[in-house]
Amino acid sequence: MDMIKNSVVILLLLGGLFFFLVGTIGLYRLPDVFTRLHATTKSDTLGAGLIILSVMIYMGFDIIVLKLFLVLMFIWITNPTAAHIISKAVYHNDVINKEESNDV
Amino acid sequence: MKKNIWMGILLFGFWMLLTFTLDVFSFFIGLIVVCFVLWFNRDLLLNESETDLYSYKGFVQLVKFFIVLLKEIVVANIQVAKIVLDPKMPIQPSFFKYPIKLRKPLNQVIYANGITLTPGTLTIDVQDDYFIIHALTDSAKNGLFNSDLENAANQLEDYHE
Repeated sequence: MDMIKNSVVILLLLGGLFFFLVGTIGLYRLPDVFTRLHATTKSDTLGAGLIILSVMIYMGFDIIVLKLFLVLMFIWITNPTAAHIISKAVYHNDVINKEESNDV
Repeated sequence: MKKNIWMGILLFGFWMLLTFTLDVFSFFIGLIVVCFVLWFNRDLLLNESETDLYSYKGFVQLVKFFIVLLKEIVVANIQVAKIVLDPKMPIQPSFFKYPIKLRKPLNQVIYANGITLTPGTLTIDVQDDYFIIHALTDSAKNGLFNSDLENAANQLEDYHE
């Protein structure tokens, strides 16, 4: 029983690490501010989610699970808000050239 | 006044969760801190038109929205991982206007954050009846129209009309 639980925990941890890795690689490879924001913010949501989920399973029934859930909720609220503010600031300040913009 | 009491109960529940003891000392400290926080943030509390979420039906719709959102996050994250790890990196970045039906500011905020959370799309600006969105690929852009997420978000507002 312990072995099944541990292997699930390890799998979820590896999944979370994988998505964080993808975010970092994306930050390095993608060309401009907006596309880089895509990579970093998105992988954080799933990466942090999987890692916190694995910690939850590891702890079992405990008050800490509820606290971890709250931490996850705060990450999922603040993360897109911060991404939105950064992109809005860049968009309205014309820091990049908007040649690629086709509709707006 | 009513909204202050609801928010106070919520904050006090959060305090009890964090301390997780039942002695008199921490109880009274919590009470004082909650009153102080309510007074300090009196301008920031939700106003009357935004308290839908406290009602039972509004809360059920919100939970449904989050379940759809969770599914979208997992599916789309895998797509973005494929794009980033692809040696040729097939991206077609573009800005576009996305018309929305939501009128209430709180619902607009929830939906805008939901769009940012789903990989491939990023909400840049919120206007009266449209969002300005940056899409990483064309498929992410087209996937936004008539999606499950859009339907779930519209139901956030529809249920009481």
